[in-house]
Amino acid sequence: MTEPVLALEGLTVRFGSRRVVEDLTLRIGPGEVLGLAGESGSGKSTAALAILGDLGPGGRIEAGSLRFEGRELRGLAEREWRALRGAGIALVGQEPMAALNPSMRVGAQLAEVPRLHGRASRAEARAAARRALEELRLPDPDRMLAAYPHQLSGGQLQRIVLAMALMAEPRLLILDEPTTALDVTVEAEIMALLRGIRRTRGTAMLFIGHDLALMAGICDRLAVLYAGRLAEAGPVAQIFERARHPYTQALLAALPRIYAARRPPAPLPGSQPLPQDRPPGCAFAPRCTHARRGLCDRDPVPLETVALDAVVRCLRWREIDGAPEAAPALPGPDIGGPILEVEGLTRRFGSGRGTVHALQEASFTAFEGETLAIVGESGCGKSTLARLLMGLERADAGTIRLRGVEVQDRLAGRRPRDLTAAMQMVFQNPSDTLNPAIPAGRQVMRALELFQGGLPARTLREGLADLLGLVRLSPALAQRMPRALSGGQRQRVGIARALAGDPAVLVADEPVSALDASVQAAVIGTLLELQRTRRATLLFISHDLALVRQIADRVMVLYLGRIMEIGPAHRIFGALCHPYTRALLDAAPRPDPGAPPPSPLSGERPSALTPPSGCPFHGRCPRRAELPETLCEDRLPPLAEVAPGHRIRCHLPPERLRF
Amino acid sequence: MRVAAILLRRLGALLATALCLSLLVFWLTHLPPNLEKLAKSQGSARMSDAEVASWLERSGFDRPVPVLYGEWLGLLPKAGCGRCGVVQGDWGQSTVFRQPVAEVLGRSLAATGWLMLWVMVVMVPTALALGVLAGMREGSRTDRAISVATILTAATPEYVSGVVLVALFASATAGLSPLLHETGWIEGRTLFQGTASGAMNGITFWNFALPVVTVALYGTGYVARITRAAMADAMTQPYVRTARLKGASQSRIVLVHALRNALVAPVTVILLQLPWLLNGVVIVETLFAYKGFGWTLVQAAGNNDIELLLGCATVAVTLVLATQGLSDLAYRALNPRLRAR
Repeated sequence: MTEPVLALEGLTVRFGSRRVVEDLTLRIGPGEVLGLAGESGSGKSTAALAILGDLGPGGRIEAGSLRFEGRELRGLAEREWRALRGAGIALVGQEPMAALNPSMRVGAQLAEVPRLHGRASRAEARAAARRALEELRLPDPDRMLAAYPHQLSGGQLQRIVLAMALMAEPRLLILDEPTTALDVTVEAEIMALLRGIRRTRGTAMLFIGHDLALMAGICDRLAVLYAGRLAEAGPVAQIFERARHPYTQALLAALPRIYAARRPPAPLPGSQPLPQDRPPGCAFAPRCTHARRGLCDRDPVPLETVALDAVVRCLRWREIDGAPEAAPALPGPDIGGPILEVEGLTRRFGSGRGTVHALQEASFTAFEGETLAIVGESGCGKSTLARLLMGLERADAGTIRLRGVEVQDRLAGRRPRDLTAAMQMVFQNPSDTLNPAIPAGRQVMRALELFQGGLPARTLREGLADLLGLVRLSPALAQRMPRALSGGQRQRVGIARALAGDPAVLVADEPVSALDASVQAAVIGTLLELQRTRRATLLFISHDLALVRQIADRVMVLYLGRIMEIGPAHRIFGALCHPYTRALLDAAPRPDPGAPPPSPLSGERPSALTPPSGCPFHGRCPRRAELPETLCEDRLPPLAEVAPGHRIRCHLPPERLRF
Repeated sequence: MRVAAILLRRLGALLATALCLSLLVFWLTHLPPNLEKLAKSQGSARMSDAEVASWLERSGFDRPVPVLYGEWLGLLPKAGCGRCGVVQGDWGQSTVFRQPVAEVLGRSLAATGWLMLWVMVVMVPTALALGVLAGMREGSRTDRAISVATILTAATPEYVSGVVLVALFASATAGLSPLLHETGWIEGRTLFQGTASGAMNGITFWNFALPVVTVALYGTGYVARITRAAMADAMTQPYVRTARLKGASQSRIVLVHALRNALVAPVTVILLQLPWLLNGVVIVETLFAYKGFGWTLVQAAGNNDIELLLGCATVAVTLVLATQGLSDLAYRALNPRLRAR
């Protein structure tokens, strides 16, 4: 067997009294891409930092060995680490904007790498920086080199960070959630680049992530981490085909699949324990349907080799068969009359350099009891739309009618109480929207007081208990401060608060994107169930098309402040759709290691300050060539009805938009 | 262009504030009891009420305050010299020094300027160095030692540190000087001079060190605290991790990557310290008998020297507002994200 590039043997990392990573054994061969999957707090980033010798104060390697190209890294002196970092092992992190020095030009930051490792002259280093950018197909490299990070887009920055990591030709590239902060189309582009680097350079990679669908597209082998321990590892195709550990099975079942039947992702109860309260025995046992008392709650639970190159840490893997039950398909929605009517809604922001058209002449109707998904890349106007609906901002033009009453001129504080209660919002980041100094239950109770004013304390307490029951939170949690709750629990508090007024319309702005994979499905399940039982309208704002496919009745697609398409989900995902929607669908990762890689959309998204003339999408549209001359540049296509309830903004005739 | 707009706006605000404040001081100094005091100190302490009234009438103080203010500004014609006032560069006559106010102010500002210069020379490098050393490795022994020292100096007002320093180094009967004198280490009776009045004619280390250190101590502590916090924050930023994982050495990380981003806060604070130094200067100049701006202000206030007091107030306001404008500009210069807009 050839010498592995990286070999971890029983690695255990401690922070104070907490074992964050326990007994981790991994191996990465030359040119191999290993995926390390896990939720936040599973210890995956800690493992990466241990490999780079950068645990920081308080962290130390307690046991195990860490070999890079056969050389033991434990106990390496700081000087030797410095020579290794960048040149031997390089890291690309999650937030490209934060990873680059804000007060240094990009060129200087890139040129630093050869200066540090190759003793290159200033001019040589600069030339190398330019070459590195060209290699990653960054347009106009000279402009990029002279730019400060804040002048570039997230996708450009991540490519620059990647170029920087590759400059000293490392033998191992660690990618720590490299696309989490990026849009789907940009993500597809970065993934295509990574596949290209792997093909041309044969660099071994450790790809850390939580999105199994994304990892399926690049990894050779997959290792699944749960609560600091390896749950399962093996070739990626084998894991997707036949996962042996119940946790892996649950993760795969919770994956929304874009071309599957319409059903919510299968939920997994509970959440991952924190390092300090990991149970004895199997850490997953409390959430596992296959767990046996007296067996799974006892140490040790050894890692077993179950096939060639495949290991699993489960005492009952032989008895467990296949995937867990899928969630039942959603019953057809019981859709009533119009409840929210939006007509010509427009919002502009003035800035020093011009006007940003955040939303232009948006018109749509939402019906009672339906789930309307609002989809688009960052900056497309979806959050602006939510803020206008809620009355957090005032529209420049257009009307919003809620239950037939015009509300666009009344900001949130000035709407009559029943209308405020009738439309409520669930926010993206539950930790930012709950007051950290007030117990969770009090905050829900406060909403009850506001919406149903003048209720006696006893009724309020009963109301609170009902709401917590609805969102499946134990009443004991009501006394806790928000920081003592897990992310999923916090989001449930956020939902309970929104439900206090018994809303007819619930606006959910990316309600699960800040949550872990295994928790997402459960929160979505709660939202959908509430919506069905209460016949509320759910406006579900999301960038995750696979998830939208699973739960939405109708879909609305926004691009640069314009509605590009609106229609029934089964038609958009199954019959015909706008070229932009199609591009979004094509860019979404598929949870199937055998599938062809998603195809990225070419070109940079235009700035909202200088929106293109005519059709806003014409510059990036793959079908542009099919239309004559300058039609797309000159005229904005109308949002034309192609079938009952399905409208598309495109010059192409509908029959040519079929799949 | 944007910078020019900011400067213009700042200048407008400066003028408006200076005008308001001088009007306020003018009105306060022209209240009847104060004018009576003025008459008695200028004429005779035993003047009767009628004599006071006639003195005020003769000196022109019986007219309405807005008219007097207009004359002081130079917007209204004044009997005797046409239109002469602040606008024309005529700041009036100091009653204490029996000299034109402009001359007194010029002399005292020059003296204070030297004091400030040396304070800055001592304070800025010391404070930045201490702050960077402490913030570089948050929680280390160096950090804790520096933190204790800087908290102590930042918590000690000048009138305490000044007295302690004088007792330690400039007293013939207490502190180090008697010891050193007896053992023959120093010629004179004290190590440093307890008064800086000699510095008006020539600054030496021995007559100037104590006042400079007294003013600098407080500021050093304060600026070092700010620098430490900014540095510690910068060191935890992802871009510092990026630099470390590129293989950069600790000194390169600190000097190239962290320092510039960490300097934004302290530089603005240092500029905002300038007006605060004026405050400390009042105490220190009085304590060390150094005839600078602070000492002059105290003299003017103590002796009811109205025109000198007005002059001092106007100069002080201008200084405060000018440094604020300067700190805004420095903030933009250090922060490319703001410069781009």
